Amino acid sequence: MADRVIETSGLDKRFGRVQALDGLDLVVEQGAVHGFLGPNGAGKSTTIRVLLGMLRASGGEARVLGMDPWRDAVAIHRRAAYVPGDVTLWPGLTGGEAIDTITRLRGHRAPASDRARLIEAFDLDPRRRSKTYSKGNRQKIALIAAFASEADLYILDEPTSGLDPLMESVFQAEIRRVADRGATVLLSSHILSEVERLCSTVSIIRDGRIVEAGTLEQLRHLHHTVVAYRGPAPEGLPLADVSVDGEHVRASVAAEHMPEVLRWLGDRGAQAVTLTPPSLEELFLRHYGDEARVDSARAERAKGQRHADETGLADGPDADGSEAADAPAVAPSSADVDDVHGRHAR
Amino acid sequence: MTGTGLLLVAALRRDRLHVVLWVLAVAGMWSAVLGGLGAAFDEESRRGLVALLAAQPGLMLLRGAPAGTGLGAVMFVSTFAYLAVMVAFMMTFFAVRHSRGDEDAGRAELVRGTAVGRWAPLVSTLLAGAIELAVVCGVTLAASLALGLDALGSALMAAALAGVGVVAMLVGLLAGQVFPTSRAANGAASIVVGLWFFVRGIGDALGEPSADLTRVESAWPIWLSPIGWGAQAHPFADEPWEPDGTPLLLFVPAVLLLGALVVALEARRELGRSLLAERRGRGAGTALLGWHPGGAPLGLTGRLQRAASLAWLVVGAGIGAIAGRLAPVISEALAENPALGRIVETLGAEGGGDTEGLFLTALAGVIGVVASAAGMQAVLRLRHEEQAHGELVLATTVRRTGWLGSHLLLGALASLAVLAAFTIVTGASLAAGGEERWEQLWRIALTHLPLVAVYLAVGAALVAFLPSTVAWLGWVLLIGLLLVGDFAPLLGEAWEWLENLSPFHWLANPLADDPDWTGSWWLLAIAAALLAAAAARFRARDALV
Repeated sequence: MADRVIETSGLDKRFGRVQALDGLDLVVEQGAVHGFLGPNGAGKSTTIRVLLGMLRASGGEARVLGMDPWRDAVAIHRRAAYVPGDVTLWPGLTGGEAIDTITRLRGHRAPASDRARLIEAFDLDPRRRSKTYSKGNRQKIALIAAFASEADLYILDEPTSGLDPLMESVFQAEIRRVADRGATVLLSSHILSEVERLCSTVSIIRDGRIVEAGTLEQLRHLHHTVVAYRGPAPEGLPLADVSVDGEHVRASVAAEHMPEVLRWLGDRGAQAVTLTPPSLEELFLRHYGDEARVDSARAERAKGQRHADETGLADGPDADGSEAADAPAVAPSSADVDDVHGRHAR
Repeated sequence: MTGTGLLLVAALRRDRLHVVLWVLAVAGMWSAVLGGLGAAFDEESRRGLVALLAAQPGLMLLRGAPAGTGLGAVMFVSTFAYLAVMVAFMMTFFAVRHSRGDEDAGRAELVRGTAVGRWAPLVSTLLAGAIELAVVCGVTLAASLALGLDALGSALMAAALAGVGVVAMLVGLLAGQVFPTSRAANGAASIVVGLWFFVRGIGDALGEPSADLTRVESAWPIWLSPIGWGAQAHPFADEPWEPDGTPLLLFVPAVLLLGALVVALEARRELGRSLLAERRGRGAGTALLGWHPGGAPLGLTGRLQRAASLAWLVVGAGIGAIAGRLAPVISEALAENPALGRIVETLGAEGGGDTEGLFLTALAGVIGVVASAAGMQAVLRLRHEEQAHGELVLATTVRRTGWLGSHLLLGALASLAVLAAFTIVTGASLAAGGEERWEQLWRIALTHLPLVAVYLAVGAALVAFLPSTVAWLGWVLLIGLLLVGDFAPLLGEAWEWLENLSPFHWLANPLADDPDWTGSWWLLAIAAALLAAAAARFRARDALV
């Protein structure tokens, strides 16, 4: 087994009464580009700040590069580079000064070896005062500072949210470059295509807990493939989300039922069969959907009886109506699927 | 102007706590001193107090020139300058917060993207400022009426405070238009307010006392300061003088001029732009900027504090220049006025009869506050740095204690530089006139070191323990305890405990032949304990990112 660059077990973080992290188990192997996905407020940034020793865990264990992130923060920082999600620079410093200062504070020599190349690639004017930079330009400065000198671990918190598509491709090239060198990357992101393109492994966090983890292939296997064909309506098959429009049928199939479904389709002479493997987006939306349900349930409890009716109306049919209405008895409810898969993945 | 009403309501809502605090500070101080003075001082002791003031230019520089011995007159001379400075700060901070501050934070952009007219933000800010100012001045007026002061005088004083406030608000708006950051704008506006206070002080200190030492005719510099215009209305003057609102008319052209300037600039200015534009700078950072020995980012902190420390240094040198020029003038005036001379001799027991020494010590008290403020400001800056840039800085090899240490060290250096600048400028200026007071001056500076240490430690403790309230609490502790030290004696013996709370009370007397240093050592010990606790806490708590 490869070395684990990041490993947490049962990590807890409470802010007053809010449980931000709730038994988080995150593992990132040496050399992996690890996608860290989750809806807003799920605890991504909190996790990262605990890993960097800015916040102190309320419970559980965390190791980064084999060290304790709270006690050995400075030793970890010597080998890690970090790009925060919301970069605020010193208004009086120029971009170039900010880059060199961060480089030196990280314990490297400035100008860093790749600084000039990156400034060129990211098309940055380093002589402007930081106050006059746009969000994207501020992000570029943090990215250049992170990538200009070598690190063993790169932690990036939604680093491309302000970049244009051209710059995003520069960013992706940099990730590949450091990954080829053998560095480890933890990439928190909302941009699923980016994660699909860059990441070898993925963890999905929800409510301060990892609900899915593994390689992209593993995760895809665990999820339903969408099957569409022209032919007779399905009978007695373990399908979910079935929709029948005349001859056109669409449904989703769990991986383990695929042989059975394919045999049936062959037997019945189904035509124009397409099988679409699950995208990360579908995988992710599944959790967003759950999140929405969890949220509304919480809101309901919090508001008490007074608004119970309204909330019930608001999220009832739309959020989970399709499954509730269409799913045959054989298909497990999506919450069960998640649970099972979560355990598998871990 | 579309949307002015909505913005006005939003501004007032946002400021409600500020208004309450300022009302408590301004009206509260006025009523507390009024109640205390009324109870503790009869006509005769007030006469003594006024004579003392008239005989001591140093005291007049800090307080004002007396215009009679009635309760209102004594009240006015002992508090008006401070009340006016408070109101002025309230309004400059208000103006910067609602103009440059909003632009810095991006709120202005958000607001201007909605259906509000081009002039709505400025107009609503002016209106909100006027309303908040009216509340503070109105409550002050009500307090003086309720405590039985003359109606005309009370109204004149409230009008004077309002005039200072409006001028200060416009100065704050101008500063916001001229300077690119709210920090710089606040600094510049504060320097203007400080100048108002000192220019008025110079006018009063150089004033001509009457033969019976019940009133002092201020010298011409007083007309250069809006606070001076208010003071010259003499709202509670006794016979033969009369309250006279004419000087307050000076506020009208001042407001019109400044207002026109603000409007003209605003009409030309684009969102987020400033008159002093940000120039392009170096494309690379120097090694000094990234210097961080032992995990203390001294280079970065030094760069961030450079402008503020220089400003404090200039303030220190400026006060030194005032002291050096005024001290000889004042002893000459004293030699020519036998009545003054007698008063000073009767005071002799306290200060050794050394008027010039007393004058220098009074000014050095101000320098002690400025030096403490310079140090504490540098330490309190860490809170902003932590919130704004903590994620960048704390992901490097910077150690938390090193970070705190870099702010403490540079704060201490700024404080020492302020004290040194005052001492050197004053001493050199006196020496040029053939007078050597170096030893006394250095001793005056030395007695203020414990104060500086206490406020450095207070700043560190606030950053470590109360990071969310720290911005204003530190200044309340500095200015509040200064005022307590200054005013508690006026409140009578029952309030001695309050005076004892103030660190200013425990400083050694530099004019004494054998100063008592016990209090100074205690202050240093308290500072050390606070610092140790702060360092431990700052290391152990979650970063505020």
